[in-house]
Amino acid sequence: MDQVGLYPVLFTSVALFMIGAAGVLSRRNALIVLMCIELMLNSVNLAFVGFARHLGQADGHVFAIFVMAVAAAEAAVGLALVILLFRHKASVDLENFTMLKG
Amino acid sequence: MNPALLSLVPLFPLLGVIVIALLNRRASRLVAGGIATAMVGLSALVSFWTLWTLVSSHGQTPMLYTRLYQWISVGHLHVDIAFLADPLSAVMMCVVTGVGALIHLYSIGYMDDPADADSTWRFFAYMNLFVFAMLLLVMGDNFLLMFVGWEGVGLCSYLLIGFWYTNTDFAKAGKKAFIANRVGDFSFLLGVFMLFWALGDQATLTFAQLQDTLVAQPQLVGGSGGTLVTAIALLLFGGATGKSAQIPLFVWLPDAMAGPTPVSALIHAATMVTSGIYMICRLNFLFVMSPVAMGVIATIGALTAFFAATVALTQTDIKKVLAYSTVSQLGYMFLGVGVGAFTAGTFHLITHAFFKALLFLGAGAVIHSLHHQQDMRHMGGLLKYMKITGVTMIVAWLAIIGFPGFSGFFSKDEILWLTFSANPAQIALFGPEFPLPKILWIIGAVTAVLTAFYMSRLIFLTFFGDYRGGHSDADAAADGHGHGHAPPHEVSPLMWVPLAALALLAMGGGLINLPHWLPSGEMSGGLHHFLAPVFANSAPYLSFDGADESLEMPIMGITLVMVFIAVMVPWFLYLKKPGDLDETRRELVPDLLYRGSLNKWWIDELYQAAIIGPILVGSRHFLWAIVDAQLIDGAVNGVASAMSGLSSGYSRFIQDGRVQTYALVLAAGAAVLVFAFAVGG
Repeated sequence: MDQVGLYPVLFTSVALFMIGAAGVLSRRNALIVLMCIELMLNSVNLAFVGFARHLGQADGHVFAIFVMAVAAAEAAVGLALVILLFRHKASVDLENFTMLKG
Repeated sequence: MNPALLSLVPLFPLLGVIVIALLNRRASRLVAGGIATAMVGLSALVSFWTLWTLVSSHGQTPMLYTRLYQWISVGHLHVDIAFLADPLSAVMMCVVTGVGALIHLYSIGYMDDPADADSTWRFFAYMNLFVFAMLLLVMGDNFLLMFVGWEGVGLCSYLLIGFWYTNTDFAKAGKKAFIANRVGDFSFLLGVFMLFWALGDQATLTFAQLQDTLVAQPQLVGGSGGTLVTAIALLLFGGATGKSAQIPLFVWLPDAMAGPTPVSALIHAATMVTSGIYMICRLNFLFVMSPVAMGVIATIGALTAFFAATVALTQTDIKKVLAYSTVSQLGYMFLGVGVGAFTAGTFHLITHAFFKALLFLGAGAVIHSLHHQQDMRHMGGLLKYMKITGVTMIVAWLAIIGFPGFSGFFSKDEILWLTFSANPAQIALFGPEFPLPKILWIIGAVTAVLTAFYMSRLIFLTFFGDYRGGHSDADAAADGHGHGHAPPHEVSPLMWVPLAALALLAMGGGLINLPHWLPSGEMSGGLHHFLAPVFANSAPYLSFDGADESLEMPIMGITLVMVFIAVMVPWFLYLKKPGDLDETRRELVPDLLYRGSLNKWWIDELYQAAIIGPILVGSRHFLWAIVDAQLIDGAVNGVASAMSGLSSGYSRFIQDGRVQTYALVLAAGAAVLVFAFAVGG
């Protein structure tokens, strides 16, 4: 592990973030969108841990733990929302939910 | 006296306003009037105490000063809420509160019309507010505080002229007064701004500092006789022409007679209209630096005095005669201060406050007694019915025409004599050699004759001869019912006590400044010596040695003879009645002159045609129809309709209801920002 520098870690983090963001913006299935959000959160975790190792400080590790806890809570809320959406329209396809349109 | 007590002087009337306004309808005429009179009376006591402190110290205490708090502090500029009582302010304070208290007392008796019962509190609240504002004007130690008072008295004047605002003409008269005053106030403000700008780093708004600065560094305003100081002085004088009803802004004062008569006495005769004189006296050190401006002031004053006197000759409304007489007498005061006779101007201001307030209050008593009859053609012989009013009015008449021994005699004579003997160089409107003082003296002397004529006409038509109201004793008895048409009767003591007090002042007011030719010892020139420190810095600019002093007595004699003749003419015309009055008049006076005087030389019509009409037309057809309706409204409506068109036509697709689209726009925006930071560094 000592051989891996900061940059490979950051590249991996950015790549994961981009993949997640692309998924959030383009996928129609609400479950996939939720998974992509998890992906983005975890890419941030990776960046936190990478910086923490590079700077030799524990702050980043602490933040990663916090993010995981928040992500777990978010996943629970998100899944509950998806279930409600499904009950409403018998679908989890986001194309069907355009009620914000004025 | 502790200087801190000075703040009590304006505080009492302010307290009166607050109390009366809080009581409003619950305060009857007697309660509201009682509070108002008591407050101004207390204020007067403190003022007299102040004056006594200054007089009795014989120059040991040059002034009293108290600072309430710092109002504005920006850089080098400091403006305080501070009151100043130097000899000039103290004299003004005493005139304002002393005459004011008497007029307040009189008003309790005068405002007894049952139709006004619900609004009398408003009258007294405004009157007290006026006294408060006037005291700010004369006591403020800087331009800003003076300007607050300056605008405040204008506001109260407007409110009180339009006191019976349900009458459209009265409301219009109020507006006219306010607008004419605003024109002057604008000029005054410009003058203050220009002075402030000219002083640069030394800029100050405090009178004392300003005086020190200008005396030490006259070059800041272009030196004596400079263009800059002339411009400043003329702009400030422009403000005075509005407030003190001089050509060209005097037109509001005759119309201001729409207000209740005590208002005319207090505001439009004794106090507010003299604030222009006060301002020039206060800034005498500035005005004397510009001989041209002094010449303009003296000339405008003399012309106004003459012009207004010619109009007063033929007016039939008793209050209109007094209004034009006031304009005329104010002209005398400006003539006085214009030629540099600041003490004489102030002296005439004081005596005029006494006798003109008395004339107005006496006219008010007559009007009150005759049930709102103001036309002198329906009066006559009232001395028989109203002895006290009649006698006091006769005293005032003798004072204003300058009967020897009465107050007006001394003050008018001093102005005329100093005008005659003024050095032409100090009023160099047409160059330092032009004999302007002599010309102005002739105008002033002719005006004195006209004054004697129209005032005698007023007195003879009102108090002598036979009663022409058609409701004499016999008529009333025959009438039987006489509701509201009872014969004229003497007014209540509430009204005649102030009349009697003012009559004493109008008679003895000359004692404060007896002329040097009277063997009066220490009494001689009392006011002159008292005010000398205030005018000390202008003294080097002025000299009155232009004529031999031995001429003074002959000149006064000539004036007196002319005045005597001017009194005899109306006596002959109106009392002896050699024939039909209209016929006699037609024989004696060209018709054009008579109609010109009767119609105020068509000045109102001229202003209407030359200024007000074009402004109205320009406003309606250009400013309203084009600038407002098309340019301004067009711009506002255009922006709104452009936005609504843009939104519904082109940008609507952005809001499709899909959260992912919103997120995409957000992300794209964030990407642009990140890119911009990355590239821009």
